[in-house]
Amino acid sequence: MKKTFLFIALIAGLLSCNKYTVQSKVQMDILERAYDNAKSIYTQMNTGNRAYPVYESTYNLVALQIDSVYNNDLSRNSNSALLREDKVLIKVWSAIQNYHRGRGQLNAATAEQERKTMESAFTPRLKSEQSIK
Amino acid sequence: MPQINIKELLDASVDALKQAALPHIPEAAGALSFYIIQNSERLAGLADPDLDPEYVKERLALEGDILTSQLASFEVFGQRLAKDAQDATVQSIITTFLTILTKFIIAA
Repeated sequence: MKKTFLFIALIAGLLSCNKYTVQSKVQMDILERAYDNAKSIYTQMNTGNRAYPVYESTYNLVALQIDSVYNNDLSRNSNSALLREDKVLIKVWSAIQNYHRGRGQLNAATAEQERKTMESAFTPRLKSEQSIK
Repeated sequence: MPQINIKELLDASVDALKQAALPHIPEAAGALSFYIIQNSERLAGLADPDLDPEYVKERLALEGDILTSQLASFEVFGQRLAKDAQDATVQSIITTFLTILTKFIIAA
């Protein structure tokens, strides 16, 4: 009985070492939806309307989606690199939203620069998720 | 506000990325080129005179975070390869152990 217990403990120990990344279709779906929603803000801004209230609900939606990605990563035993990417994404998105909220209106140059910043924050997280097989 | 030295910043980020990107990992090689282009466009964009200097300052402050995230992706690519190797090792260890255990149980 004691030996059986030790055996089970050893196997559990060996398996618990295997804690790197775990593939998740749900995570990929949420991330892609968040990215598409974020991109849609800049596509719409190209038409000329860059007032914050028009985009507030989409900003909030993306914020919720990337929070959800982070929380899922916490619970799916994800490695620290993914969590670091999640935190950067949340921080950058928050900075983008806060700036727009504070200004109320963006000029074309700022909107284009914010698009580049958004792309740079999403890309590493997306590439990481895509690499997990 | 002092003029941003885009080239210096870009060179520093490229150096950091090159140090972390393992060339034998295909994802890393592809991502490295992509990040260099993205960083170059983003940093060049910050030199646009139509941008508010305070805004530029705020966004420059995020550059370290963006680089952190890019470097973290290389870590994920590497860990995925390590995981594959580790999976095989763990399987082999378990198989060996189970074989020994089976003999032990039969003999008991």
